[in-house]
Amino acid sequence: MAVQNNKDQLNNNQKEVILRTTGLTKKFGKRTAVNNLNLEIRKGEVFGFLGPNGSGKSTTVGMIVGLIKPTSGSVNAFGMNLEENYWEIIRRVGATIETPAFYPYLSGWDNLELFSIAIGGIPPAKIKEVLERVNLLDRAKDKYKQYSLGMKQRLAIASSLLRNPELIILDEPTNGLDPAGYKEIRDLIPSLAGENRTIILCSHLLHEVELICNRVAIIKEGNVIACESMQVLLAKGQMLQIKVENPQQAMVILKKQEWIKNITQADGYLLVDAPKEDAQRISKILAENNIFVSELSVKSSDLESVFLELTGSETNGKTN
Amino acid sequence: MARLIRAEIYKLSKRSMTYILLLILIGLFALILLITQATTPTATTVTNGITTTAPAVAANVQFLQGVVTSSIAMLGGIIGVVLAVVLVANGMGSEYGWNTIRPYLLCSESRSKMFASKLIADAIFIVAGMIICVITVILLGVLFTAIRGYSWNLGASTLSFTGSQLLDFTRAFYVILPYALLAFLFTVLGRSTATGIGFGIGASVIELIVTGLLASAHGWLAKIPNYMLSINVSKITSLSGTSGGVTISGGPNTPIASSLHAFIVVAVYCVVFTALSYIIFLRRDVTG
Repeated sequence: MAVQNNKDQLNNNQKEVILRTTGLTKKFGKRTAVNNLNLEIRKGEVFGFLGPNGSGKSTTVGMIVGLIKPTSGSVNAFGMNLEENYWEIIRRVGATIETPAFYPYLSGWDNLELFSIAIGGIPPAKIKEVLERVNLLDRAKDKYKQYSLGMKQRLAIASSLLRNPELIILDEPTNGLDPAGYKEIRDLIPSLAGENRTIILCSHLLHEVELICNRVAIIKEGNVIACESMQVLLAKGQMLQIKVENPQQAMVILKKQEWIKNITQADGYLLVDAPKEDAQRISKILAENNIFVSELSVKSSDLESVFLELTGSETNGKTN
Repeated sequence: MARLIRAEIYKLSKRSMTYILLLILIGLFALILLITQATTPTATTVTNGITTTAPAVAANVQFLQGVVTSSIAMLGGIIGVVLAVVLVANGMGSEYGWNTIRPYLLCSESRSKMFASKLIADAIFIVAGMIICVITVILLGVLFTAIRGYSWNLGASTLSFTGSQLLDFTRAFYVILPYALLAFLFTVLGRSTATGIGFGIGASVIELIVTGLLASAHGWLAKIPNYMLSINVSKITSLSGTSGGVTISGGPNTPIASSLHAFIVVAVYCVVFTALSYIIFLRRDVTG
């Protein structure tokens, strides 16, 4: 429901760009980690950022928050250039980058208090509020080094909320969480977006991204290979599932059609890589060749299969 | 900037390492004082058949003055330097070790301000540690004097004496600085506490050896020690009249440098170490 609300809200704000990267490139020696990245992220969006390990996701996020200096290109957020207006931008951004990192000798509360002092203008009530939000208030006085990985993740999210950010960047926020914790965070993200915040979510869990995100960019070897709304991206993976009496013959006929990208056969069905709008056309071609369709349906795709197809990765529901 | 200094002070004040270093400092000084007390020769006088034993340094005033003077000198010596190096290297190295450099930078107005706030907070803690140590030493001195059966005397706090001790205290802090900044430089360079402490102290030791070797050289080589750190630090510490550590001097062919020269050379080292650390810290990417 929250996702739907968020999607509705997104439509209202579609034109306001919160973050824009222009020709963003990062080279480490001879290796190009990120190549000419052009992204636009709009207000209220939950933007998924996917890619296999070493594809340049973390480098991109690092450049967006100013931890990594781009070799070329620029980052603009809230209408300002990051290099020229670092603090004006960063004070409006909450980010958890890669693994959670806090001072182990301090408690969860003290860690947040420390960050509050550094940021300035954050009342103690806000610390309590964000800890409550991630269900960590009862363990707030425990030392950080005693926290489980899931608790560390939740503290990282709490710290990203301290400055009441308009843009939240979450890099693998569900790593190490148990199923209950995972669900909490999965519910928290759309609710944050529902508060008129923009969220960039880097996650290995494709199912999670599919459930939460409005739009997705897939990056491979430093290049964005897809950047679409979730609907469009999933539609790319849709197949027409056709049942006929003579699938072999039907396959031969359809393969002659240049506009059909791919045809495979599975469980007695033909799987045709073509948009659903072409269903009638396919049916007609087959009928003209005396092959009659007994079943024709659209086989939905999921993000995982689209991701695998685009990146050519081998995964078990996770990107690496 | 003030916020970041506060944050740095918060970090250091909540860390047990800070107090362990302070305890080590105080403990070492107490031990030295105790040994000095135990080994101080006593003078025995017999008046009208009554034997009286007094410290060789007869007046309590002189004893207390000696305690303060030598403790300040020792602060600028090897003990103070090593502990300051550990404090500074730990403060920065831990940020890399725990990866807290990433979230902390995102809470900092700029890298320059974070850099400056770290150094300022370290300096505050070094000075605070030195003050606490001197106060402890004075209290122990008074205690030992009282144990010996003499009333303690604050004659040591005359204006001229206090003034000269403040100057010595400043000198002690000044000679700690280049070593602490060198450790900071290596910590930033190697992104680790161990590198900072290891290379910070190691480089100082190597420099001592090189200075020693060059001291016996001739010609222009003999002039080099005058531009090295250890010999100039030694020159500054010797101004107090009490050396806190090993006194380093040039060879017979090394021209004797002035105090002003020594101050300038140490200042140049401090500026160079700070500038190099700053450039590296500012330019380098912060990656996981």
